[in-house]
Amino acid sequence: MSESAATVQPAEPARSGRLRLPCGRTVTRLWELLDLRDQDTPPTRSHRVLEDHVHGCPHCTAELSRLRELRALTTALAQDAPRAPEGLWSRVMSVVRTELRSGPDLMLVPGDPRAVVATAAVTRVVRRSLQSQPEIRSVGRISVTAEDGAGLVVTVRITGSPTAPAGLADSAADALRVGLADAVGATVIRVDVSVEADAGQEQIDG
Amino acid sequence: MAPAGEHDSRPEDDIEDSDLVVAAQEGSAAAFEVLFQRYRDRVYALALRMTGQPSDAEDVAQDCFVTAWRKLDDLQSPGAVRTWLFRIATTTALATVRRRKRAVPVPTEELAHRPAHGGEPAARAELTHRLAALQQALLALPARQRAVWLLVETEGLSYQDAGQALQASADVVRGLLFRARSRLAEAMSEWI
Repeated sequence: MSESAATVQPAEPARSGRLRLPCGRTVTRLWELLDLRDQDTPPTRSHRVLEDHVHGCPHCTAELSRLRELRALTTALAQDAPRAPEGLWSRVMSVVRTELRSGPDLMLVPGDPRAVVATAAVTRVVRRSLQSQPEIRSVGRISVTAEDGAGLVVTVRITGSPTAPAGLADSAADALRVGLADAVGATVIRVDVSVEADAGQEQIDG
Repeated sequence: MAPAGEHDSRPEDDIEDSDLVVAAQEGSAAAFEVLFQRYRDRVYALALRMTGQPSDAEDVAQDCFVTAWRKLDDLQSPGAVRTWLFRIATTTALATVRRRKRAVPVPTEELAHRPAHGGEPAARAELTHRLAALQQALLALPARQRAVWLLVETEGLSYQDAGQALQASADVVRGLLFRARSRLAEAMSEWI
């Protein structure tokens, strides 16, 4: 009996646990084929061979059609995501606002435990100082530590605008020193600014 | 790219995840709130499909975001926050399912909470029933198979990212996914 005239049989479990079709192909391979098609990935040689086989095989064609329907149903399920209940927001945010991430206190004056400032407050000042500079496109993570009350050590990574001048690291360091002196009254003893230029430009450390 | 820390002065959609994470790591509750708004529905949906119970799903989603806030400093790649949240949610959901031994299928309307939209009424009704059947079949899967299937098929995670969420290798993910697909195809045979 020719294959085209054969009755289409469902897949049977193979010894390996992979479902095998009467034509000998496994359902796993058909899933791979479907994945490649959906992801627009160029097929491998073995998948091209499988594609050729599928076109003339009623078992593979029928199985692939079923898998495609399941995939379409899956897409519909993904788009049908239920909305989170309204009460979730208040419960999560009440914890977030209670458990402030202010970081450790930084000592501003040697031996004076009252002269301290929260790390988060200093970080905010640094960020605002840098964001006010037009030649700075973005500000990455900021790290601030205090060295025994002698002053603050600030480390930050910034990205310059396409027209940023060569001395951007120095001007950024000056901006954050002034910002911290004005807003917190803190002395900055060291600033490490690493500048990541826009694509195509070299990284400069200052 | 919008500067982090000033997200409330501009449309939130313009702010990249990585900027929000950095701002939140520095203590900005407002930045974290934008992240929460951005991912709450996806995290809740994942939790609901994992646990099958709205009350459990709400607890899982709440635990997920509270844990994320507390452990933000552990996130080394701020741009990977989506995968990281799914990892926390999956771990929490699996623990919940283990505690209850198995997910208890819920009434159809709890999961297929709204009718499918678009098309003719008869086609919409048919799609609603098929989606409900798929969700029931999903709940009948072993929990790790269900998790892999949800992460890869509905959230679009790579095998590697799904593996991170489940603390498993990409090969293990591939195996779990194939078994899940096979079982679902079998369970859905009268619908597809």
